[in-house]
Amino acid sequence: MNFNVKNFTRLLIHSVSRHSNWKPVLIKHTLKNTGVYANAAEWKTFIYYALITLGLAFSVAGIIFFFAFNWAHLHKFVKLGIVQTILLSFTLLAVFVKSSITVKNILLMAASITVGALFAVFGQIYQTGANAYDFFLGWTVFIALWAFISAFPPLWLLLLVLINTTFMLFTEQVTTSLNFEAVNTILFAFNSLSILVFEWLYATAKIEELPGWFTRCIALAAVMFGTIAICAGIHSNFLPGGLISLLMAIPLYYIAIHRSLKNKDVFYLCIIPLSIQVILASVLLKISFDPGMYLVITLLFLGGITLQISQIISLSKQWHAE
Amino acid sequence: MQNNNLEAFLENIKEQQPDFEHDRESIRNDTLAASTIYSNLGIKVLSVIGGFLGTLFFMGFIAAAIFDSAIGSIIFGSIFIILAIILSKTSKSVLADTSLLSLYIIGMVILGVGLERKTGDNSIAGTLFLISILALWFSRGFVMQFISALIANGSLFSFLIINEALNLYHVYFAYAVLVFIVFTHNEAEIIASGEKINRLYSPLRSAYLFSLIAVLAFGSLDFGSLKLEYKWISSLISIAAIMLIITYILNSLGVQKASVKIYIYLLSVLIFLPVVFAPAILGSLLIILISYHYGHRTGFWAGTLAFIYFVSRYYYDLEFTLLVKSEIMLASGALFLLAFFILKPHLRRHEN
Repeated sequence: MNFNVKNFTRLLIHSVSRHSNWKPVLIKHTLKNTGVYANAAEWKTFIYYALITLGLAFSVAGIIFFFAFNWAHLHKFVKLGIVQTILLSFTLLAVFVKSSITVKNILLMAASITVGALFAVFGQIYQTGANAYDFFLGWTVFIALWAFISAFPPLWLLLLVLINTTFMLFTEQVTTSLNFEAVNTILFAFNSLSILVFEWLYATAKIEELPGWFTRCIALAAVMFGTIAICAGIHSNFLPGGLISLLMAIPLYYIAIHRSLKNKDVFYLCIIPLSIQVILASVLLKISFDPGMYLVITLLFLGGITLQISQIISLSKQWHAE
Repeated sequence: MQNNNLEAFLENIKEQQPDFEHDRESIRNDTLAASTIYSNLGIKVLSVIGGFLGTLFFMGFIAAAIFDSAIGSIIFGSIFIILAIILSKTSKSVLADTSLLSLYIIGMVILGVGLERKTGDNSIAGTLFLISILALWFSRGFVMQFISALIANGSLFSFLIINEALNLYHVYFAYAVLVFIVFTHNEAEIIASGEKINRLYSPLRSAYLFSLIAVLAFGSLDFGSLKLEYKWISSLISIAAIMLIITYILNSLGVQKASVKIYIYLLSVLIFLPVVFAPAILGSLLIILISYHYGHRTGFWAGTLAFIYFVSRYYYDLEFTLLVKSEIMLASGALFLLAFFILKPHLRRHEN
């Protein structure tokens, strides 16, 4: 019995009690019988998972602390050797272990993270600097192949995060010819393109499944970058970056809303109007920085979100009724 | 679909309690309201963001227009608060709730700033306490009552800080723990004692939960000049509370054998011994146990997060070398795994 059901049952019990003369003794009885209160089986489950989780967590933490203590005194080849051994173990396990594909993918994921650890250790030993974009670049390149061949969305997400990070650091540390809006515009374009690519791969059956949370994460990032680019563009009188973002945003937002309505999914309906409101607020701020304008913006947000939520709720009711 | 279940449910009660009378219409309205998309995460997040952004800019406006005048602040603050309370009675949507909440908090802040120019800290705390109690009683809706209860508890606690009576921390700690336990355990009695209290139950319980976490967090912080002494008092209170809860749980599960009970008590004490100087860990453990037993999801996850944080804090603050810490952790880990493997057959057998 999960917490959601317990919540709903509890609401019902409270409601009945509120509008009746139900006796407390019997209420308590019902709370137990309907499973709102935990029973013996649930407690056994709790102890089972609590013990194993605490046991593993403390053991792993202990091992990590042990390494942390000795780290400084280890020879550099030993350090690299340890991480490489871990990497090899994960990789070999992923290939050869006789388990479900999910387990293998999780091992591959662990291996991918270890690649990052390997480069981090390398960077620490040879003092290449923590935020060096080439650390992220190396990491990205070396797990790209794994990400492509595995049908594992978390790994794809890791790759996309790394690509975004590499690009951002690259523009910060190496080239300054791209201004702030341009960087955000490119990130907006890249992430939107990724979504479209993945959707196309899914539609043409080149990948088997495309989890909702995955596309939503990317969409969130894309909309965020786009909004930042447009707002920055507004304030700097529309250098090319901002304008391009705006031009990209119009069709993309339209497609997204259309998709939302077609699939009866509220996600895009939540984030895109919010993005539009933020952009409008930027426009208003550009017009005037007066405190009076703050009041206007307050009303914009409160009114806008009210409208948005009421529309979403009525749409949801419509969809649920069908 | 819901109606049949509701009827069956009510029939069931009628069988057990012959003089059962109820208002079917109101119950049905309540359940209908509860099963709308109100609980969609996206809408909740949107409301919070909207409320936050609205508040932010409104504060900017008010800051420029009103902050110079203390009387103006007091007047406007009071107006906002009263407006928020009155309007909350008629609010029907999530967003109205959030906007009113923003209005309420802004009102409180402005009032507080205005009062600061006129009177001392104690009066401010006292005023906020009284206002939040009034707001708690007269307003409607989960969020406003929840926040009001939090403010009330917070104002009470701030008396301690303002008057530098830190040793009374343990008294407050005992109060927080006691109220939380009593309130959660006596849910049935409380919700049956009147419509007003019934509606207040959920927000109050959540407020007491988060107030307790806040108290725990405060206890584990170091404020430099305000040092907290006699931590073991709080720990003892926590241990007593946990023992009480374990008793409730064992009773609820129908465990009769005295030997089993003693076994469990002794085991618990053994587990608590290493962390007797960290009441925060014990307190969060208490929260987890209570929330799990009485079926409160937010409490359970909040307690778990708090537990993880406080345990990490504890180990971080321990003044041993990393080697010793790693040994302690490995030993703890081994003990838990040992317990796991010993208890595993018992736990498995009944799962089927």
